[in-house]
Amino acid sequence: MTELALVLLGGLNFGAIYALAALGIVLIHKATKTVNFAHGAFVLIGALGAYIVQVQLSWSAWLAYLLVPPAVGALAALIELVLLRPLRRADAFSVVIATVFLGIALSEGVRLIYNAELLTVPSPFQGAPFLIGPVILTREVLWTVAGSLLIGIGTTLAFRRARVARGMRAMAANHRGAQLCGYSVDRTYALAWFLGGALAGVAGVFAAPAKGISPDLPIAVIAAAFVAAVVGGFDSLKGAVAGGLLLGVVETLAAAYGDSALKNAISFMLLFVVMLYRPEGLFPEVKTRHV
Amino acid sequence: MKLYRLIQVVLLLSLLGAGSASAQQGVTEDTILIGALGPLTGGTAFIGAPGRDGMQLAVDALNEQGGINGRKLELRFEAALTPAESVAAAKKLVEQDKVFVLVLASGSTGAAAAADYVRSVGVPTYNIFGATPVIREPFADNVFHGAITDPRTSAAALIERLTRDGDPERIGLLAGSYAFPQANLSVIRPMLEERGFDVTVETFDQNAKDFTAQLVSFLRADVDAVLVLGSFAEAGFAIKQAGQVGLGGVHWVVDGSAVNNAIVPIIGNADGILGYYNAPFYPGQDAEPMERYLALWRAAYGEPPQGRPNIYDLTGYGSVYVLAHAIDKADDDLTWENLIASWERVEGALPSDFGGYDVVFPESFSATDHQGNDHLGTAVIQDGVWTVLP
Amino acid sequence: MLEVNDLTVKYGALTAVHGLSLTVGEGEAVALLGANGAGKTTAVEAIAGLHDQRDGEVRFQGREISRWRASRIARAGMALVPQWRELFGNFTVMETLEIGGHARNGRAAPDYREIFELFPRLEERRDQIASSLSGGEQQMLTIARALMSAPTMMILDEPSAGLAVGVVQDVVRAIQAVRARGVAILLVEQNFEIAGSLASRALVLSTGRVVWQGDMEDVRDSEEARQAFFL
Repeated sequence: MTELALVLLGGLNFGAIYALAALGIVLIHKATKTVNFAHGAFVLIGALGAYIVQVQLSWSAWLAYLLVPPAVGALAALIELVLLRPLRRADAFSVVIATVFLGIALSEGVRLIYNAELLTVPSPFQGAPFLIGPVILTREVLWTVAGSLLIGIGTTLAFRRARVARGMRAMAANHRGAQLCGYSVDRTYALAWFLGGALAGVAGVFAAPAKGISPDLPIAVIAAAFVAAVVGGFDSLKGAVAGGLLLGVVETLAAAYGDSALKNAISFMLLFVVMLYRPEGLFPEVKTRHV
Repeated sequence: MKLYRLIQVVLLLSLLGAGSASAQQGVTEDTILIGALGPLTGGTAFIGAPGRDGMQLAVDALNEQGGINGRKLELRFEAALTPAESVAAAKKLVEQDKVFVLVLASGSTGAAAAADYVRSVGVPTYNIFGATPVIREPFADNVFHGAITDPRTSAAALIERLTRDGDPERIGLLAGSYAFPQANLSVIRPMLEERGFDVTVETFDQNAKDFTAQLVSFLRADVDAVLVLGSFAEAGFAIKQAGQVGLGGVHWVVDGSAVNNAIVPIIGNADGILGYYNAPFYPGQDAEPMERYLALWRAAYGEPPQGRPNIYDLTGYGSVYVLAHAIDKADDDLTWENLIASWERVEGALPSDFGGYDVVFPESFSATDHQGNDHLGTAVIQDGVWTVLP
Repeated sequence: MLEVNDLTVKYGALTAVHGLSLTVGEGEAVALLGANGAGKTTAVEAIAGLHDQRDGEVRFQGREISRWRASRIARAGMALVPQWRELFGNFTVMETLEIGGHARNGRAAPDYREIFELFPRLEERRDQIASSLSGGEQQMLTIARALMSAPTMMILDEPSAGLAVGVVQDVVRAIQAVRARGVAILLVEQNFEIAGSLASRALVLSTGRVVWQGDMEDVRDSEEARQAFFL
């Protein structure tokens, strides 16, 4: 029982980061119908931001949580404005392909500037862990799981309620209709990329102490985040959060009670099972009919 | 007809004569061209890029003193990540750039890939980072090995570290599923079992960050000590998570030269973790040659990023001084044959013999032993930094 | 109010509208008539900024708007009620009306009471999502959404298409009420009856060109209009 609790906690710790990364992918896709393959690189830049703030500048970890997400968001919005907008006029598919190469370029850029095997960021919490019976819960794990869950739920609620988010939802539901109601495609897209980028940034800040910063981070994160997003229904924010947590737990369970080699395979098995039996994902959005 | 044949023979002879009169490729009156290859991008860029920077530091320092026997050194470095790129880079350096010596600064992957080629052309080759047996066996006259030892030497060193501070009975082996750790696993596992240890093996994928499952298995087996065969980053995250699953009391030994300090910021308090080091001092360790070396590094490259300089900076630097010894002993007659002969006479080569700083172990070679260094320092984390014990 | 000069709209190589010119005066209602495929929808969507490939001059309240995007034109006070309605399927009636108010841009908006007076059915359905409404209710919601932006001009693209006769009357009454408030109207129609009950002036479009224009009453007598409608 203790063992199972430990395994589940370990899974949730990584699942929480997957969830945040998936959330950004889903948000951008929901509002702009663009699958952003550069999202992993945004997460990497977020993690790098945590390194710059906490290690290079020796500022508080809280400042990393405060400063890095808007900075990555601004970068994402700038990329949308300068690179993707002209392409979008040509063809939506070119935009998706462009994000693939953009992701590679950004990751390689980071590698060129920080030519080290791995950069690490200390955990924001070094205090004694909590003991729940025999189960150990370190402050870092508690913060990662609770903090990312809060952000995930907060984003989901905000997207339902907030005024700006309503415009994005309208744009997602019917972009011509939204334009006729005075919502600018350009502004809405820039805003969606800003928010998606900011979510990637915050995922990066959470990932930095748990995963370190290495050029393989984008691939690892994006693969998991895509599986989480698809499992969750791809256009559902709460689905992305649930999918991320589920994936983290399933991976760790498979490795613990199956074989450690199963860890990577299981995510794709999960994907297959969901696609077979629930192709619309765990939390399908209400089907938007073109009315 | 006879006259024509005669002219042909004379022409041919004169061509041959001209060939032998001119020096070996890559050597002129006042320069010696050294070629090197290694990864500057990709997952193993942490090997090649420091290797290049370390070599360049030594080359510049030697040239400032006037070079070796009046000849300045010139380093030409080719980026090569994959096996195919490594073979192509070796060919380009030898056949197009016509280098005098080839340095493989590429870890096991590149060294294994280039092995057949360098054996067949006979270019004097210095494998400074590759542990792989492919480049070591069968023995080749023209291939020399530097600071990085072969897997058997390091396996013995690791077992010594495991038993150094106690008498463990149950040992967990946490091994990466990729080539390098698996090769080490196949050497060290039988050695451990032969000595009567109770061994539990768990594997993980390259660059794994989540070790919960493996650690829970070790918890079940109640291991006393864990040996991590993999990168230091992997080891760092495994040790960090061990605290999260209540596997706090075990003794940790990590394989591989203590590449960088990464393990410390990952874990926080990592004191007591043991490993080995292919050089006498860890970068930043309180020792005079290291201080001077770091000052030189900073003057050339500025404030180092986290994890630099690393073991490949140090051994890249040291390797150029080993080359300097071999070239110096060959005097003026710089042919491949002469260089190889003089290299086999190099004894206790240190950078300080040429005014450098002794941040590497001395290297010695003979006609039958081309492994320059067999010594592995005991590395331990003390007060948050790796320290190599004297 | 609206002045269109020599508007040409293309779909790639295909020209859907050839040099259309028309004016709609302050508070005036003009009908744009034509058979299926005549280019009516393309023309009004281009005026409202939904087509990138457009040439010619469009002036709205004295300002040249032919390069403006649809969202900016909507905020300037020109509301398009599109033929395909373009509602937000999973938004409720109330949410849709709130979204409609976004383009108000400082103009005094009608309150919900006025909207519901015009469309009592919508009040009954206020918490239902748009995709669950009947065709007539959806048409009313589309008009109501446009009204929420307090437009000075409204373009209605075949508001009667596909609706039952009873429902058409409700819609026509609502448009008459809108007109009575002084909102200028450009109405795209195939149905002479409906156009006649709402507009005073008409243009007839055939294969992308204006073939006739004049008073609404004279349309039926014109040879060009007959040919355009295969009467």
